Amino acid sequence: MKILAVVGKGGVGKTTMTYLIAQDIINRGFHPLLIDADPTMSHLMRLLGIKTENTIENIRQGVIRIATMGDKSEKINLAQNIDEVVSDCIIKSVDYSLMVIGQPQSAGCFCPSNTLLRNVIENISDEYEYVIIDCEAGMEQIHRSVVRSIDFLLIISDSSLRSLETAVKIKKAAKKYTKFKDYGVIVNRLRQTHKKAILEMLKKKDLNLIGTIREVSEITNLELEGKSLSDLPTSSDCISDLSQIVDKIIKLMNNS
Amino acid sequence: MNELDEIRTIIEESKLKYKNYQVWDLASTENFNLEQAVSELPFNIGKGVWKGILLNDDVKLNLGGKHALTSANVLCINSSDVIHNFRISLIGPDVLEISKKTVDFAMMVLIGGKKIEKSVLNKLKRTIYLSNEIDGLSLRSISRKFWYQISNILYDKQVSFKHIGIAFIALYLQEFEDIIESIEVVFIIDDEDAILKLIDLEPKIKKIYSEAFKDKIWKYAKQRDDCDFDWECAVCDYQSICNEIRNIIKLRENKITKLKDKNEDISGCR
Repeated sequence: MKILAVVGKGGVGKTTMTYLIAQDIINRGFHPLLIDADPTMSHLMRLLGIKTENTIENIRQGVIRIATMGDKSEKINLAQNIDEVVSDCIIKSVDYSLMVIGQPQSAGCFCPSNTLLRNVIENISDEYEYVIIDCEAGMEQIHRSVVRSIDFLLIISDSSLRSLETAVKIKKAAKKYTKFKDYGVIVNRLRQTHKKAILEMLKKKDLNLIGTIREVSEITNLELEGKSLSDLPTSSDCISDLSQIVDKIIKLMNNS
Repeated sequence: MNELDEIRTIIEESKLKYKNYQVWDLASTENFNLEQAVSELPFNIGKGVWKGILLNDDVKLNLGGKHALTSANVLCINSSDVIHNFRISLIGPDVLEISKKTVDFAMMVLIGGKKIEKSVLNKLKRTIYLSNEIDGLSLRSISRKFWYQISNILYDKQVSFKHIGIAFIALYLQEFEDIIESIEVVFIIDDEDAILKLIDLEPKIKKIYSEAFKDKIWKYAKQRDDCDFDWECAVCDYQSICNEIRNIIKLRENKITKLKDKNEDISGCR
Protein backbone atom coordinates (compact mmCIF):
# COMPACT_ATOMS: atom_id res chain seq x y z
CA MET A 1 0.00 0.00 0.00
CA LYS A 2 1.36 3.40 -0.97
CA ILE A 3 -0.10 6.62 0.36
CA LEU A 4 0.04 9.86 -1.58
CA ALA A 5 -1.15 13.07 0.09
CA VAL A 6 -1.99 16.09 -2.05
CA VAL A 7 -1.60 19.44 -0.30
CA GLY A 8 -1.23 23.10 -1.27
CA LYS A 9 -2.60 26.59 -0.82
CA GLY A 10 -6.33 27.00 -1.44
CA GLY A 11 -7.25 27.52 -5.09
CA VAL A 12 -4.11 26.08 -6.66
CA GLY A 13 -5.93 23.04 -8.03
CA LYS A 14 -5.33 20.39 -5.36
CA THR A 15 -8.59 18.60 -5.90
CA THR A 16 -8.35 18.77 -9.68
CA MET A 17 -4.85 17.27 -9.45
CA THR A 18 -6.07 14.58 -7.03
CA TYR A 19 -8.85 13.69 -9.44
CA LEU A 20 -6.56 13.57 -12.48
CA ILE A 21 -3.87 11.56 -10.66
CA ALA A 22 -6.55 9.12 -9.51
CA GLN A 23 -7.78 8.83 -13.08
CA ASP A 24 -4.25 8.13 -14.28
CA ILE A 25 -3.75 5.45 -11.63
CA ILE A 26 -7.10 3.88 -12.56
CA ASN A 27 -5.98 3.86 -16.21
CA ARG A 28 -2.92 1.89 -15.10
CA GLY A 29 -5.27 -0.83 -13.88
CA PHE A 30 -5.38 -0.07 -10.17
CA HIS A 31 -8.34 0.53 -7.91
CA PRO A 32 -7.26 3.38 -5.58
CA LEU A 33 -8.81 4.47 -2.32
CA LEU A 34 -9.50 8.20 -2.51
CA ILE A 35 -9.82 10.06 0.75
CA ASP A 36 -11.58 13.40 0.68
CA ALA A 37 -9.96 14.95 3.72
CA ASP A 38 -10.66 18.61 3.12
CA PRO A 39 -12.99 19.24 6.05
CA THR A 40 -14.46 22.48 4.81
CA MET A 41 -14.92 22.02 1.09
CA SER A 42 -15.21 18.34 0.11
CA HIS A 43 -14.55 19.34 -3.52
CA LEU A 44 -13.39 15.87 -4.46
CA MET A 45 -16.76 14.41 -3.57
CA ARG A 46 -18.36 17.06 -5.78
CA LEU A 47 -15.92 16.50 -8.65
CA LEU A 48 -16.77 12.81 -8.57
CA GLY A 49 -20.44 13.71 -8.62
CA ILE A 50 -21.06 11.95 -5.31
CA LYS A 51 -23.18 13.10 -2.41
CA THR A 52 -22.91 11.34 0.88
CA GLU A 53 -23.74 11.94 4.49
CA ASN A 54 -21.67 8.93 5.51
CA THR A 55 -18.55 10.60 6.75
CA ILE A 56 -15.87 9.48 9.16
CA GLU A 57 -16.85 12.45 11.28
CA ASN A 58 -20.34 11.01 11.76
CA ILE A 59 -18.76 7.78 12.95
CA ARG A 60 -16.53 9.76 15.29
CA GLN A 61 -19.60 11.43 16.76
CA GLY A 62 -21.09 7.96 17.26
CA VAL A 63 -17.92 6.76 18.99
CA ILE A 64 -18.01 9.73 21.34
CA ARG A 65 -21.70 9.21 22.04
CA ILE A 66 -21.21 5.54 22.88
CA ALA A 67 -18.16 6.33 25.01
CA THR A 68 -20.19 8.99 26.82
CA MET A 69 -23.53 7.30 27.23
CA GLY A 70 -23.29 3.71 26.05
CA ASP A 71 -23.31 0.68 28.31
CA LYS A 72 -20.57 -1.98 28.44
CA SER A 73 -22.10 -4.20 25.76
CA GLU A 74 -22.41 -1.26 23.34
CA LYS A 75 -18.74 -0.44 23.86
CA ILE A 76 -17.68 -4.05 23.23
CA ASN A 77 -19.92 -4.13 20.18
CA LEU A 78 -18.32 -0.93 18.89
CA ALA A 79 -14.79 -2.31 19.36
CA GLN A 80 -15.76 -5.51 17.54
CA ASN A 81 -17.41 -3.77 14.61
CA ILE A 82 -15.75 -0.38 14.14
CA ASP A 83 -13.68 -1.59 11.17
CA GLU A 84 -16.79 -2.83 9.46
CA VAL A 85 -18.67 0.39 10.20
CA VAL A 86 -15.88 2.48 8.66
CA SER A 87 -15.61 0.12 5.72
CA ASP A 88 -19.34 0.48 5.10
CA CYS A 89 -18.93 4.24 5.00
CA ILE A 90 -16.65 3.91 1.96
CA ILE A 91 -18.36 4.45 -1.38
CA LYS A 92 -17.18 1.72 -3.72
CA SER A 93 -17.40 2.13 -7.48
CA VAL A 94 -15.92 -0.11 -10.17
CA ASP A 95 -12.89 2.13 -10.60
CA TYR A 96 -12.23 3.56 -7.16
CA SER A 97 -13.34 3.71 -3.54
CA LEU A 98 -14.05 6.99 -1.78
CA MET A 99 -13.88 7.83 1.90
CA VAL A 100 -15.10 11.26 3.05
CA ILE A 101 -13.69 12.54 6.33
CA GLY A 102 -16.16 15.41 6.86
CA GLN A 103 -16.03 18.46 9.03
CA PRO A 104 -14.64 17.53 12.44
CA GLN A 105 -16.89 18.66 15.25
CA SER A 106 -17.14 17.62 18.80
CA ALA A 107 -18.16 18.67 22.21
CA GLY A 108 -14.89 18.88 24.02
CA CYS A 109 -11.76 17.42 22.61
CA PHE A 110 -11.28 13.70 22.43
CA CYS A 111 -7.93 12.77 20.97
CA PRO A 112 -8.40 9.00 21.40
CA SER A 113 -11.39 9.04 19.03
CA ASN A 114 -9.05 10.20 16.29
CA THR A 115 -6.50 7.59 17.25
CA LEU A 116 -9.16 4.88 17.02
CA LEU A 117 -10.36 5.99 13.60
CA ARG A 118 -6.84 6.51 12.32
CA ASN A 119 -5.97 2.93 13.32
CA VAL A 120 -9.04 1.67 11.49
CA ILE A 121 -8.34 3.78 8.38
CA GLU A 122 -4.74 2.57 8.28
CA ASN A 123 -5.99 -1.00 8.58
CA ILE A 124 -8.53 -0.56 5.78
CA SER A 125 -6.01 1.27 3.56
CA ASP A 126 -3.86 -1.87 3.60
CA GLU A 127 -6.34 -3.45 1.19
CA TYR A 128 -5.45 -0.95 -1.55
CA GLU A 129 -2.34 -0.60 -3.67
CA TYR A 130 -2.71 3.18 -3.75
CA VAL A 131 -4.35 5.61 -1.37
CA ILE A 132 -4.69 9.21 -2.52
CA ILE A 133 -5.61 11.84 0.06
CA ASP A 134 -7.00 15.20 -0.95
CA CYS A 135 -6.02 17.31 2.03
CA GLU A 136 -6.78 20.78 3.33
CA ALA A 137 -3.87 23.21 2.94
CA GLY A 138 -1.52 21.50 5.40
CA MET A 139 -0.93 18.11 6.94
CA GLU A 140 -1.89 18.76 10.59
CA GLN A 141 -5.44 17.52 10.34
CA ILE A 142 -4.42 14.49 8.26
CA HIS A 143 -1.96 13.41 10.89
CA ARG A 144 -4.57 13.88 13.57
CA SER A 145 -7.37 11.92 12.08
CA VAL A 146 -6.46 10.11 8.88
CA VAL A 147 -3.03 8.52 8.71
CA ARG A 148 0.17 8.86 10.68
CA SER A 149 2.65 8.42 7.88
CA ILE A 150 2.56 8.84 4.12
CA ASP A 151 4.80 7.72 1.28
CA PHE A 152 4.69 10.79 -0.88
CA LEU A 153 3.77 14.36 -0.05
CA LEU A 154 2.70 16.12 -3.22
CA ILE A 155 2.58 19.89 -2.84
CA ILE A 156 0.61 21.71 -5.51
CA SER A 157 1.51 25.30 -6.23
CA ASP A 158 0.72 27.80 -8.95
CA SER A 159 3.16 30.36 -10.30
CA SER A 160 2.48 32.95 -7.62
CA LEU A 161 5.05 33.86 -5.01
CA ARG A 162 2.48 33.45 -2.23
CA SER A 163 1.67 29.96 -3.34
CA LEU A 164 5.34 28.98 -3.43
CA GLU A 165 5.85 30.52 -0.01
CA THR A 166 2.91 28.44 1.23
CA ALA A 167 4.58 25.37 -0.27
CA VAL A 168 7.67 26.08 1.86
CA LYS A 169 5.50 26.45 4.96
CA ILE A 170 3.59 23.24 4.19
CA LYS A 171 6.81 21.29 3.78
CA LYS A 172 8.08 22.66 7.09
CA ALA A 173 4.80 21.92 8.91
CA ALA A 174 4.56 18.45 7.36
CA LYS A 175 8.04 17.64 8.70
CA LYS A 176 6.84 18.67 12.12
CA TYR A 177 3.46 16.96 12.10
CA THR A 178 3.80 13.80 10.06
CA LYS A 179 6.15 11.25 8.60
CA PHE A 180 6.67 11.33 4.87
CA LYS A 181 9.24 9.41 2.91
CA ASP A 182 9.51 11.72 -0.07
CA TYR A 183 7.97 14.87 -1.43
CA GLY A 184 7.72 16.92 -4.59
CA VAL A 185 6.14 20.10 -5.88
CA ILE A 186 3.94 20.39 -8.96
CA VAL A 187 3.66 23.86 -10.38
CA ASN A 188 0.20 24.01 -11.86
CA ARG A 189 -1.05 26.33 -14.61
CA LEU A 190 2.49 27.24 -15.61
CA ARG A 191 2.95 29.68 -18.45
CA GLN A 192 6.04 28.90 -20.49
CA THR A 193 7.14 32.53 -20.24
CA HIS A 194 7.35 32.17 -16.46
CA LYS A 195 9.06 28.79 -16.41
CA LYS A 196 12.65 30.00 -15.96
CA ALA A 197 11.80 32.39 -13.16
CA ILE A 198 9.72 29.78 -11.33
CA LEU A 199 12.43 27.15 -11.56
CA GLU A 200 14.93 29.61 -10.10
CA MET A 201 12.54 30.48 -7.33
CA LEU A 202 11.99 26.80 -6.46
CA LYS A 203 15.73 26.27 -6.30
CA LYS A 204 16.13 29.30 -4.09
CA LYS A 205 13.42 28.03 -1.76
CA ASP A 206 14.92 24.54 -1.70
CA LEU A 207 11.79 22.86 -3.07
CA ASN A 208 11.97 19.66 -5.13
CA LEU A 209 10.17 20.13 -8.40
CA ILE A 210 8.53 16.95 -9.61
CA GLY A 211 6.84 18.45 -12.61
CA THR A 212 4.91 21.29 -14.13
CA ILE A 213 1.45 21.39 -15.65
CA ARG A 214 0.85 23.74 -18.51
CA GLU A 215 -1.98 26.22 -18.30
CA VAL A 216 -4.80 24.74 -20.35
CA SER A 217 -8.12 26.29 -21.17
CA GLU A 218 -9.98 22.96 -21.34
CA ILE A 219 -10.25 22.61 -17.55
CA THR A 220 -11.45 26.19 -17.07
CA ASN A 221 -13.99 25.69 -19.84
CA LEU A 222 -15.30 22.47 -18.29
CA GLU A 223 -15.57 24.14 -14.90
CA LEU A 224 -17.38 27.12 -16.42
CA GLU A 225 -19.83 24.82 -18.18
CA GLY A 226 -20.31 22.82 -14.98
CA LYS A 227 -19.12 19.66 -16.71
CA SER A 228 -17.20 16.81 -15.15
CA LEU A 229 -13.44 16.56 -15.50
CA SER A 230 -14.00 13.11 -16.96
CA ASP A 231 -14.94 15.02 -20.13
CA LEU A 232 -11.37 16.29 -20.39
CA PRO A 233 -9.96 15.00 -23.69
CA THR A 234 -7.19 12.44 -23.20
CA SER A 235 -5.15 14.40 -25.72
CA SER A 236 -5.04 17.39 -23.35
CA ASP A 237 -1.54 18.73 -22.59
CA CYS A 238 -2.48 18.70 -18.95
CA ILE A 239 -3.11 14.95 -18.96
CA SER A 240 0.14 14.13 -20.73
CA ASP A 241 2.09 16.40 -18.32
CA LEU A 242 0.46 14.74 -15.38
CA SER A 243 0.96 11.20 -16.62
CA GLN A 244 4.72 11.77 -16.71
CA ILE A 245 4.59 13.12 -13.17
CA VAL A 246 2.58 10.11 -11.95
CA ASP A 247 5.25 7.86 -13.49
CA LYS A 248 7.88 9.61 -11.40
CA ILE A 249 5.80 9.53 -8.22
CA ILE A 250 5.05 5.83 -8.56
CA LYS A 251 8.74 5.08 -9.10
CA LEU A 252 9.73 7.18 -6.10
CA MET A 253 7.07 5.59 -3.91
CA ASN A 254 8.07 2.09 -4.91
CA ASN A 255 11.75 2.82 -4.35
CA SER A 256 11.22 4.36 -0.94
CA MET B 1 -1.04 49.07 28.73
CA ASN B 2 -1.56 45.77 30.55
CA GLU B 3 -4.02 43.09 29.45
CA LEU B 4 -6.76 44.24 31.82
CA ASP B 5 -6.50 47.83 30.60
CA GLU B 6 -6.67 46.63 27.01
CA ILE B 7 -9.79 44.59 27.79
CA ARG B 8 -11.42 47.52 29.59
CA THR B 9 -10.66 49.78 26.60
CA ILE B 10 -12.20 47.29 24.17
CA ILE B 11 -15.29 47.01 26.41
CA GLU B 12 -15.69 50.78 26.68
CA GLU B 13 -15.29 51.28 22.93
CA SER B 14 -17.86 48.59 22.28
CA LYS B 15 -20.27 50.14 24.79
CA LEU B 16 -19.94 53.54 23.14
CA LYS B 17 -20.59 52.08 19.73
CA TYR B 18 -23.41 49.82 20.78
CA LYS B 19 -25.21 51.83 23.43
CA ASN B 20 -27.16 48.61 23.82
CA TYR B 21 -25.54 47.34 26.99
CA GLN B 22 -26.57 46.15 30.39
CA VAL B 23 -24.63 45.89 33.62
CA TRP B 24 -25.84 43.74 36.48
CA ASP B 25 -23.99 44.66 39.67
CA LEU B 26 -25.15 41.73 41.75
CA ALA B 27 -23.14 42.80 44.80
CA SER B 28 -25.02 46.07 45.01
CA THR B 29 -28.38 44.29 45.06
CA GLU B 30 -29.84 44.37 48.56
CA ASN B 31 -29.29 41.11 50.46
CA PHE B 32 -27.59 39.52 47.47
CA ASN B 33 -26.88 35.88 48.05
CA LEU B 34 -25.18 33.78 45.39
CA GLU B 35 -26.70 30.53 46.58
CA GLN B 36 -30.16 32.05 46.33
CA ALA B 37 -29.36 33.43 42.84
CA VAL B 38 -28.21 29.99 41.72
CA SER B 39 -31.33 28.33 43.07
CA GLU B 40 -33.41 30.79 41.04
CA LEU B 41 -31.63 30.01 37.78
CA PRO B 42 -33.91 28.43 35.17
CA PHE B 43 -31.43 25.57 34.72
CA ASN B 44 -29.28 23.29 36.83
CA ILE B 45 -25.56 23.67 37.24
CA GLY B 46 -22.88 21.42 38.66
CA LYS B 47 -20.92 18.33 37.83
CA GLY B 48 -22.74 15.80 35.71
CA VAL B 49 -25.84 17.89 34.94
CA TRP B 50 -25.03 17.99 31.24
CA LYS B 51 -23.51 15.41 28.91
CA GLY B 52 -22.26 18.13 26.61
CA ILE B 53 -23.64 16.77 23.35
CA LEU B 54 -26.30 18.49 21.26
CA LEU B 55 -27.59 17.40 17.89
CA ASN B 56 -28.00 20.12 15.29
CA ASP B 57 -31.79 20.13 15.54
CA ASP B 58 -31.55 20.63 19.29
CA VAL B 59 -29.52 23.82 18.95
CA LYS B 60 -31.34 27.12 19.20
CA LEU B 61 -28.39 29.48 19.20
CA ASN B 62 -24.70 29.22 18.41
CA LEU B 63 -22.56 31.65 20.38
CA GLY B 64 -19.68 31.86 17.92
CA GLY B 65 -19.25 29.12 15.36
CA LYS B 66 -17.46 27.52 12.45
CA HIS B 67 -17.99 30.63 10.37
CA ALA B 68 -18.42 33.12 13.22
CA LEU B 69 -16.06 34.69 15.72
CA THR B 70 -15.61 33.29 19.20
CA SER B 71 -13.39 34.45 21.99
CA ALA B 72 -13.43 33.19 25.57
CA ASN B 73 -10.76 34.10 28.02
CA VAL B 74 -9.98 34.11 31.69
CA LEU B 75 -7.72 36.82 32.98
CA CYS B 76 -6.36 36.44 36.48
CA ILE B 77 -5.00 39.45 38.34
CA ASN B 78 -3.17 39.33 41.66
CA SER B 79 -5.27 42.13 42.99
CA SER B 80 -8.98 42.12 43.79
CA ASP B 81 -9.51 45.89 43.70
CA VAL B 82 -9.40 46.26 39.95
CA ILE B 83 -12.15 43.69 39.33
CA HIS B 84 -15.79 44.64 39.89
CA ASN B 85 -16.90 41.78 42.07
CA PHE B 86 -20.11 40.01 40.96
CA ARG B 87 -20.56 42.30 37.98
CA ILE B 88 -21.97 40.86 34.76
CA SER B 89 -21.83 43.09 31.69
CA LEU B 90 -23.58 42.44 28.42
CA ILE B 91 -22.78 44.48 25.35
CA GLY B 92 -25.17 43.69 22.55
CA PRO B 93 -28.49 41.83 22.52
CA ASP B 94 -29.57 39.36 25.19
CA VAL B 95 -30.28 35.72 24.31
CA LEU B 96 -34.00 36.15 23.61
CA GLU B 97 -33.39 39.28 21.50
CA ILE B 98 -31.12 37.44 19.08
CA SER B 99 -32.96 36.44 15.94
CA LYS B 100 -30.01 34.80 14.16
CA LYS B 101 -29.03 31.16 14.67
CA THR B 102 -25.34 32.13 15.02
CA VAL B 103 -23.76 35.28 16.44
CA ASP B 104 -20.20 36.48 16.95
CA PHE B 105 -19.49 35.97 20.62
CA ALA B 106 -16.94 36.88 23.25
CA MET B 107 -16.83 36.11 26.95
CA MET B 108 -14.26 37.34 29.44
CA VAL B 109 -14.02 36.12 33.00
CA LEU B 110 -11.93 38.52 35.05
CA ILE B 111 -10.67 37.19 38.34
CA GLY B 112 -8.86 38.96 41.13
CA GLY B 113 -7.15 37.44 44.13
CA LYS B 114 -3.89 37.79 45.99
CA LYS B 115 -3.62 34.04 46.53
CA ILE B 116 -3.79 33.11 42.86
CA GLU B 117 -0.73 31.04 42.19
CA LYS B 118 0.75 29.55 39.08
CA SER B 119 -0.39 26.09 40.12
CA VAL B 120 -4.09 26.96 39.80
CA LEU B 121 -3.95 29.03 36.62
CA ASN B 122 -4.39 25.91 34.50
CA LYS B 123 -7.61 24.94 36.29
CA LEU B 124 -8.94 28.49 36.27
CA LYS B 125 -8.49 28.73 32.54
CA ARG B 126 -10.11 25.36 31.89
CA THR B 127 -13.41 26.16 33.59
CA ILE B 128 -14.47 28.68 30.95
CA TYR B 129 -14.21 26.11 28.15
CA LEU B 130 -15.83 23.15 29.81
CA SER B 131 -19.47 23.96 29.97
CA ASN B 132 -20.74 20.46 30.68
CA GLU B 133 -21.68 21.76 34.07
CA ILE B 134 -24.47 23.99 32.77
CA ASP B 135 -27.61 22.11 31.75
CA GLY B 136 -28.29 22.93 28.10
CA LEU B 137 -25.14 24.90 27.30
CA SER B 138 -22.78 22.92 25.13
CA LEU B 139 -19.26 23.52 23.91
CA ARG B 140 -18.47 22.54 20.35
CA SER B 141 -15.01 22.48 18.92
CA ILE B 142 -13.27 21.87 15.66
CA SER B 143 -9.59 22.15 15.07
CA ARG B 144 -8.46 25.54 16.35
CA LYS B 145 -12.04 26.77 16.80
CA PHE B 146 -14.72 26.40 19.41
CA TRP B 147 -18.08 27.87 20.25
CA TYR B 148 -20.95 27.52 22.68
CA GLN B 149 -24.43 26.29 21.88
CA ILE B 150 -27.69 27.01 23.64
CA SER B 151 -30.21 24.19 23.41
CA ASN B 152 -33.85 24.70 22.46
CA ILE B 153 -34.82 23.61 25.95
CA LEU B 154 -32.53 26.12 27.62
CA TYR B 155 -33.78 28.89 25.32
CA ASP B 156 -37.39 28.04 26.12
CA LYS B 157 -36.57 28.56 29.78
CA GLN B 158 -36.11 32.28 28.95
CA VAL B 159 -32.40 32.12 29.66
CA SER B 160 -30.44 35.37 29.66
CA PHE B 161 -26.75 36.20 29.73
CA LYS B 162 -27.30 37.34 33.31
CA HIS B 163 -28.21 33.73 34.18
CA ILE B 164 -25.23 32.35 32.28
CA GLY B 165 -22.97 34.87 33.99
CA ILE B 166 -24.28 33.87 37.43
CA ALA B 167 -23.75 30.22 36.52
CA PHE B 168 -20.12 30.80 35.55
CA ILE B 169 -19.47 32.89 38.69
CA ALA B 170 -21.00 30.16 40.85
CA LEU B 171 -19.03 27.39 39.10
CA TYR B 172 -15.80 29.31 39.59
CA LEU B 173 -16.53 30.02 43.22
CA GLN B 174 -17.57 26.43 43.92
CA GLU B 175 -14.13 25.28 42.93
CA PHE B 176 -11.91 28.24 43.80
CA GLU B 177 -13.65 29.96 46.68
CA ASP B 178 -10.44 30.14 48.68
CA ILE B 179 -8.48 32.05 46.11
CA ILE B 180 -11.03 34.18 44.21
CA GLU B 181 -11.59 37.50 45.91
CA SER B 182 -13.44 39.18 43.06
CA ILE B 183 -14.94 37.93 39.82
CA GLU B 184 -16.53 39.67 36.87
CA VAL B 185 -18.02 38.33 33.64
CA VAL B 186 -18.32 40.26 30.39
CA PHE B 187 -20.23 39.18 27.27
CA ILE B 188 -19.88 40.91 23.93
CA ILE B 189 -22.36 39.87 21.26
CA ASP B 190 -22.28 40.59 17.56
CA ASP B 191 -19.59 43.28 17.67
CA GLU B 192 -17.07 42.06 15.12
CA ASP B 193 -14.48 44.80 15.78
CA ALA B 194 -14.45 44.30 19.53
CA ILE B 195 -14.34 40.50 19.28
CA LEU B 196 -11.52 40.64 16.73
CA LYS B 197 -9.58 42.87 19.12
CA LEU B 198 -10.15 40.35 21.93
CA ILE B 199 -9.01 37.53 19.64
CA ASP B 200 -5.87 39.55 18.86
CA LEU B 201 -5.28 39.87 22.58
CA GLU B 202 -5.56 36.11 23.17
CA PRO B 203 -1.90 35.22 22.48
CA LYS B 204 -0.85 37.81 25.08
CA ILE B 205 -3.23 36.31 27.66
CA LYS B 206 -2.29 32.78 26.65
CA LYS B 207 1.33 33.63 27.28
CA ILE B 208 0.56 34.23 30.94
CA TYR B 209 -0.65 30.62 31.21
CA SER B 210 1.91 29.05 28.94
CA GLU B 211 4.77 30.75 30.77
CA ALA B 212 3.49 29.21 33.99
CA PHE B 213 3.14 25.77 32.43
CA LYS B 214 5.80 25.68 29.79
CA ASP B 215 7.27 22.34 30.86
CA LYS B 216 3.96 20.65 31.52
CA ILE B 217 2.41 21.81 28.24
CA TRP B 218 5.42 20.59 26.32
CA LYS B 219 5.22 17.22 28.07
CA TYR B 220 1.52 16.85 27.27
CA ALA B 221 1.86 18.15 23.74
CA LYS B 222 4.32 15.35 23.13
CA GLN B 223 1.97 12.74 24.54
CA ARG B 224 -1.18 13.81 22.80
CA ASP B 225 -1.98 13.44 19.15
CA ASP B 226 -4.78 15.86 19.04
CA CYS B 227 -6.08 18.17 21.67
CA ASP B 228 -7.01 21.78 21.28
CA PHE B 229 -6.85 22.31 25.02
CA ASP B 230 -3.43 23.12 26.36
CA TRP B 231 -4.05 22.07 29.93
CA GLU B 232 -3.05 18.76 31.33
CA CYS B 233 -5.36 15.72 30.98
CA ALA B 234 -5.40 15.33 34.76
CA VAL B 235 -7.54 18.43 35.20
CA CYS B 236 -9.73 17.87 32.13
CA ASP B 237 -13.41 17.09 32.66
CA TYR B 238 -13.45 15.05 29.45
CA GLN B 239 -10.77 12.69 30.71
CA SER B 240 -13.26 9.95 31.60
CA ILE B 241 -14.66 9.92 28.03
CA CYS B 242 -11.14 9.83 26.57
CA ASN B 243 -10.39 6.89 28.88
CA GLU B 244 -13.54 5.09 27.70
CA ILE B 245 -12.41 5.51 24.08
CA ARG B 246 -8.94 4.28 25.03
CA ASN B 247 -10.61 1.16 26.44
CA ILE B 248 -12.46 0.68 23.14
CA ILE B 249 -9.10 0.98 21.32
CA LYS B 250 -7.67 -1.71 23.61
CA LEU B 251 -10.66 -4.00 23.02
CA ARG B 252 -10.22 -3.63 19.25
CA GLU B 253 -6.48 -4.29 19.49
CA ASN B 254 -7.13 -7.40 21.57
CA LYS B 255 -9.49 -8.65 18.91
CA ILE B 256 -6.90 -8.10 16.17
CA THR B 257 -4.22 -9.83 18.24
CA LYS B 258 -6.51 -12.82 18.80
CA LEU B 259 -7.25 -13.04 15.08
CA LYS B 260 -3.53 -12.86 14.32
CA ASP B 261 -2.81 -15.56 16.89
CA LYS B 262 -5.34 -17.78 15.20
CA ASN B 263 -3.59 -16.99 11.92
CA GLU B 264 -6.80 -15.57 10.56
CA ASP B 265 -6.79 -12.82 8.02
CA ILE B 266 -7.31 -9.59 9.96
CA SER B 267 -9.33 -8.25 7.09
CA GLY B 268 -12.03 -10.24 8.92
CA CYS B 269 -12.28 -7.32 11.26
CA ARG B 270 -12.87 -4.92 8.42
